Amino acid sequence: MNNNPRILVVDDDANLRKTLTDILRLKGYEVAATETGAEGIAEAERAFVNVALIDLKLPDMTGIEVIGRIKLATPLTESIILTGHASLDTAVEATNKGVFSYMLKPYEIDDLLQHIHRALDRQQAQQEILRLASFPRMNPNPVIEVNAAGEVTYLNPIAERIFPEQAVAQPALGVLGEVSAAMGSGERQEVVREVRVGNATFEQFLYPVPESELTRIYMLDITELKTHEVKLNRLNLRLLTIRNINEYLLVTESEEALYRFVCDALKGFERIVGVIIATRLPDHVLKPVAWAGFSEAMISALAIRWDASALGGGIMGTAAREGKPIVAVDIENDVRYLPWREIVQTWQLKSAAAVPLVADGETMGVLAVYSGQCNGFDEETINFLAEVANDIALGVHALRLDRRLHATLENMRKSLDGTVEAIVRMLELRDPYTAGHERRVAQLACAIGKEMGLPERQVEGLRVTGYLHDIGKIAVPAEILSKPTALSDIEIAMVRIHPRSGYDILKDLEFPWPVAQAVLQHHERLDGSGYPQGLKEQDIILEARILMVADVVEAMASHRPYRASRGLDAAINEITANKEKLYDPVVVDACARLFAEHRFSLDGGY
Amino acid sequence: MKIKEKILVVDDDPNLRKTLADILRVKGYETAVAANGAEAIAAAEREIFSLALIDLMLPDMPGLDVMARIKAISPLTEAVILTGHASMETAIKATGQGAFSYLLKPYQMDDLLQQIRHAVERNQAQEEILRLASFPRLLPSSVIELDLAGGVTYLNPAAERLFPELSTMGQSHPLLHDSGELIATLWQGKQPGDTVREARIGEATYELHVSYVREVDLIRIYVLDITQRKRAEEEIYLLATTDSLTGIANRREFSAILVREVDRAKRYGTPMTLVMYDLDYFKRVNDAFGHDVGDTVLQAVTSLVKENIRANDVVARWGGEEFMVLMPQSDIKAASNAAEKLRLAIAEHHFDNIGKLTVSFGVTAFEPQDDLNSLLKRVDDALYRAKERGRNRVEILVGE
Repeated sequence: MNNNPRILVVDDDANLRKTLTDILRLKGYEVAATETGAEGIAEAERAFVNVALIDLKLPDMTGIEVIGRIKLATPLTESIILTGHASLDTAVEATNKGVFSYMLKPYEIDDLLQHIHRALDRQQAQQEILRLASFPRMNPNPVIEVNAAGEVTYLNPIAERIFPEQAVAQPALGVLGEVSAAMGSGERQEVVREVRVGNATFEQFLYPVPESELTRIYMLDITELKTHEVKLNRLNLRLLTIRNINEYLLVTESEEALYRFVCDALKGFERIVGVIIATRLPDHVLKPVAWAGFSEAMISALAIRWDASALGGGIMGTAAREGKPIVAVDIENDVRYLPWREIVQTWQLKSAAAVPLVADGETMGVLAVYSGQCNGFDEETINFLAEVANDIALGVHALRLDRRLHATLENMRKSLDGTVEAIVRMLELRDPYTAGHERRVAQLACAIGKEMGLPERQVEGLRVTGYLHDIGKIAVPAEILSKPTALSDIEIAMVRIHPRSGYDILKDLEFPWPVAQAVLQHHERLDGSGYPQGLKEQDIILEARILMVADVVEAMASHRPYRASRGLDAAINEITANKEKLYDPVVVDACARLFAEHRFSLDGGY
Repeated sequence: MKIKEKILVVDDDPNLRKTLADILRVKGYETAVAANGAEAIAAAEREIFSLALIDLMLPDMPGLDVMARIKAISPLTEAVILTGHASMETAIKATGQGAFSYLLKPYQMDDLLQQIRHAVERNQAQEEILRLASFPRLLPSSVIELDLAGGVTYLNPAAERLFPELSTMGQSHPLLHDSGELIATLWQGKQPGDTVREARIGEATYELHVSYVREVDLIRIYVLDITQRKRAEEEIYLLATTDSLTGIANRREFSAILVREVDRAKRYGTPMTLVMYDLDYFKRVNDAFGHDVGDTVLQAVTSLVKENIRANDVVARWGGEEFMVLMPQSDIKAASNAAEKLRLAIAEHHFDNIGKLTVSFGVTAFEPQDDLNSLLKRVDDALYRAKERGRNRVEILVGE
């Protein structure tokens, strides 16, 4: 459109048409020339005309008519009227109605060119104005302009739709006065702030409009983002609570502790001022077993049942009876709460929700929460509570299974202890000279483990492992074991098979501790000089690292028929001298401490 | 905007000044007069004029200098130069230096009035353009214009700052990459209306409002940064459906999936199996090594499981140390093989800090008479049996 402006010449004078066409072409314009108005209109419809030069008097119609028709199709076309003196008034009047200008015949060509030039200039400006005006108009978000007096001077269509006149004044603009004053005085260049309009939240960007006293306001609807943020916060808090409860499930030892934990976790959460967990008793009493936010006196004054009596009519009783969530939105005006009127008033309870606790397919109790406001719990909260109830059910289920398993395992442990002792006695029969070695190693290993702060269960494992660590000697001929003189290389090699044999004997037994591995590794040394695998450092399990120290100390410090005791001090010196090289320094230190502080002796145990 | 257009008449001939000023007032303009260049400049410093009529020959300085000084003070003020024939060349030069036009003395009053009208109109148009141009310029979000050839014809400052490569890359820019077809359709239809698209660039998400602007025959795209909103949406989805520790489905999400799959199995009779597993002696790990180690163990077991199941199997944390795997399109044999594979993979794995760890598995298959509860109950019983029979094993239970 802009490269080669197109000029239409409409004149019934053929000579003038020709001259004008030639000159304009020479000046670089594209030119179309017609004799009649009808032809001119057709030409303008065929392709866009930038400027139309039109004689006022045409054979078929007036030039004004022609211009009117062309502008109908292409409003941006500019027009210049060429006229004689007789029609000057008509021409002047036409310029007040959108015609760009008129020229009196005869005219100077230079003047005409100046007119064309300026007409094109105006056209370009009009185009630019159209383009620019469409920016705010098509903007998918509200755009508003306000003058210094705070009056709205412009609203784009979307702003008009969202803020109908009466609403625009205050909420959408917020407190604009001081802001625009600050802008007017040049103090501030840009202000970004959040405003609420009804239920919607907008981010407002305010700018002073240059060369005017207007303030431009761009608004972005961030309602969704805000709702998401609120939702995320709530969700995060809930998940944190659920996660905490879930983590607690991993460590809880009893149902009561779990209930107490849940109550404490829920109190203060969202609108919850009080929490009660109650379990169903066979005589239809609903017994509170844990609570938070209420006093013990209040709880013991509660009388709740889970049958259909009046005392079973509250939300707790109903939830426990029917096995589904129940909500009371306005307790004070709720007839179901008549039996507890006094308590409700004292504690200012306004609404409540209860969800059943179901374990192993059976409703076992109820979780109830209370709020100090009416309507304190929405559906989401109920869902959340149901999830917590699910967690409780899962925990209770696991605890019950655990108790069952534990009972089975306890029986197993008793029979295991008996078995271990029988085995040790058998070993001692074969090797009377080292009688008591296993027992003493077991005691020392346990003491070291305790000194190191290991959990009780692991210490118990050390005891069993200590008893069994030499069980592989069953595979070594008795005469070698009891030989009072030095052993030959072959005999030494035969003794050294005992960790492996012990491992083979124990490896298929189901222990809750790594007994077989510890036995296999108890002659390894940290620097890899041990046997049978030559393991090093952390490749040797902790139990074996404890066991080797206990074994060495006991062996050196105890009397043997075939050699005198080298004494406890020598034994401690030996492990201390080789700590880090052969022995785990933490183990050695623990062992040395035990003896130095006389908290352990090999004869009497503790 | 001003109500009356103001015109400054600069001429050293007092009669001519007065006549002109009077005529212009009659025509509805406000006027001010100056006898020389200095007065004219002083007047321009006091107030803004739409137009200055300047005689080329002034007593104190050339008319062109006066024009230049006035334009320096208010760039939008138009100037019409009045001159005698002798200075015609200079007058023509003046239009090249920003004068709106020149007029040879003596001139027709009609001609002068026509030129004044054009100049004032131009001044108004320029002011309007200036005001309107600030709409896209100040817009805090990006706006882009494209022509038919796909070239970028306009970027507002925000767009230039955010997408510096747009002007050279055009429609191959990642922002516009997926909108090519839409833009082509808009060009064909040339219908106004707002079409919304989303585009991702790295971490950021943008909402594109694409429309055809008929007045100027261009495609305009308003770009909104909706990264924060998208991120919040994704986070909400993740929080609501996944276990925060292990990143796999949580119980709520898994229940929903299970309900769907049970439905599907019921309706189409497709096989479906359920595996439940539980870490052996996990409480001990927590007791002995603390929660943090316990958490890493749960994560490590989860990744082992994920590595060893099919892509369409769903693993979920059921609660505590209990997990579920839903295996659609899989019979009891395949499921128990899969569970055995998982058991081995975990038993052979060396876990940091704690060394060895084992897991017990219960496996069951959906039966036509099953509902959700009976299915869950059976898989739980199967798991219990695995625990009871010594742990670190897979137990299968089939419905009666």
